[in-house]
Amino acid sequence: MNSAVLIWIIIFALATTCFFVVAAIVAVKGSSDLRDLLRDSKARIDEQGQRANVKASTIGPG
Amino acid sequence: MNFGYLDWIILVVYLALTLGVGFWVKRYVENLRGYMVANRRVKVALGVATIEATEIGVITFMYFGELGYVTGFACFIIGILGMFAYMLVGKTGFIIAALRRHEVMTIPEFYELRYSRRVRLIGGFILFLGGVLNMGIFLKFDGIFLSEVLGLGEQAIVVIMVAMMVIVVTYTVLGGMFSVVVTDFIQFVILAFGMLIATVAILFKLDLVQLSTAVTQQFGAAGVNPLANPRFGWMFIVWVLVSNIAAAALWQPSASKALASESPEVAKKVFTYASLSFAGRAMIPMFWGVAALALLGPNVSSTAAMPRLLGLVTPRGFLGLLVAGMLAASMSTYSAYLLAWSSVATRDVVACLRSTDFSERTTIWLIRGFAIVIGVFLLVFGLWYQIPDTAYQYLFITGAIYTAGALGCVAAGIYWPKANSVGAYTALIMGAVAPASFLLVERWREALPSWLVFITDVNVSGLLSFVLACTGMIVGSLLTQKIRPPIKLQEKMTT
Repeated sequence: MNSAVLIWIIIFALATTCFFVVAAIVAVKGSSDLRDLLRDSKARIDEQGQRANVKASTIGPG
Repeated sequence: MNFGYLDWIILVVYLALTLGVGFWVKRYVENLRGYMVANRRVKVALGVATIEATEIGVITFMYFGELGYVTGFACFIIGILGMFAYMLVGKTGFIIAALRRHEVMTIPEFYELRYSRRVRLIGGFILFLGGVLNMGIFLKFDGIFLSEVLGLGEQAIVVIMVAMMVIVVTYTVLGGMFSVVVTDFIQFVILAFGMLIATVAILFKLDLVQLSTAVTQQFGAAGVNPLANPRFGWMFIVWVLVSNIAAAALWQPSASKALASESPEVAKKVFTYASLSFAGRAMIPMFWGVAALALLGPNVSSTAAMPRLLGLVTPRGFLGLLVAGMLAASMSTYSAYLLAWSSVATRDVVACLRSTDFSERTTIWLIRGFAIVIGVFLLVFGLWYQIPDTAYQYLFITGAIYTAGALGCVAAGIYWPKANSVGAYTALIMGAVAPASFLLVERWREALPSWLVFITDVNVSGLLSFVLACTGMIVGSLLTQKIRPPIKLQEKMTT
């Protein structure tokens, strides 16, 4: 194996390690980000629904 | 081939789960902002997962694998250039921070803020054209990949293409960016696991000395030195670096992740952290391509070699996970791209032809309609079109139709006060000329006069597009400062 190939193999090993380390961190932290995103959106939708109900009751026949 | 019953079960369960999640997430789409940019609530880790999943599809594995097979280790330079480009954009916030601050949903929206509605229309049309042409070969390569890995033969390619398109269009149309973000996350995790399995399986089958010998015997110095390789050289390196910077900041599917971020600071962090894995994203499939050369020899079809290798070396059971990972990768790419191009067609082309905007409801329905139309186009185009040169170069040259002009328009629009609408028109059109000419005349290379043959060199056309766009912006703007005074971004935003 010549030195040029060896250099590329070392760079490949570093790049691959970085890729899988980032993937592992993202897998753990991303799941909590995902939960926050969905919880936040659900809360907004519920809030909008409540506002619509209040509006409907104030302009309704009663 | 090793694909057995267990692999099929894993694959079917995975596909059913993905579709289920796509349907389930639909309930979180409350309005257009939710549909297009997930309410701008995406945090760093989720942003990294979604940008990675968008930028890695079966097509990515195919074109990088093909490069590894036909150029050896020399192509690894592309991974380093990609990492450097994303790092630069992330660290400096080049373009993305400003776009996020102005809260645009598509890049051409910025053209209207800074230049005019007509610039937005033309920019949107060029972006749509370049984007859909760029995506045109995805399905075919996915079909080749899956038919080789599953051992189904060429006759299965069309069936695979139709099935994939139906699944992806369905969940993208229903859930928009929410579906994209949620399924991207799941898909990135499965995909990374699949990549790990494939790499380990290859290393069990082949040692590094075998790979080294195969490359040096087949290519000599050109297999390890990108400057000595006839496909690469300095011009290629400069073009790919500039192109990667432009694509990182302006390619709608990845830029939309910055636009969906919680803040400009989060957008910068997403790009910086994602850059750390961009070298691996390219080098891992390139390594598989080199391994295919070592195991199968140099006489296999360059597109089929890498998937054939994976089908041979990955053990039963794990192959199902690998294919699920690859499909995951592809589906996340398709959904992000479909959403990006259909949003551009709706908001930046069709809506710009009218004097008043569409309602949110109509906009969402139009985006869904365009996603279906693009899906059908991809099927037809994928079956009919034969790519010139390598898939990698086709993707970069079609991307340049848009990115060259867009880089001129957006970078100058943000950082150069003298940029005006005439400069923007000139940059957009001149940026598209060289790559479009390449695609049109490449097949008739022999019939061209000798002084025009340079345009059929993909590296020259690619680099030329950025030079022309930049020149067009500077000359066009400077010559027309009096008749078309520049509009200051802040003034336009507040009026």
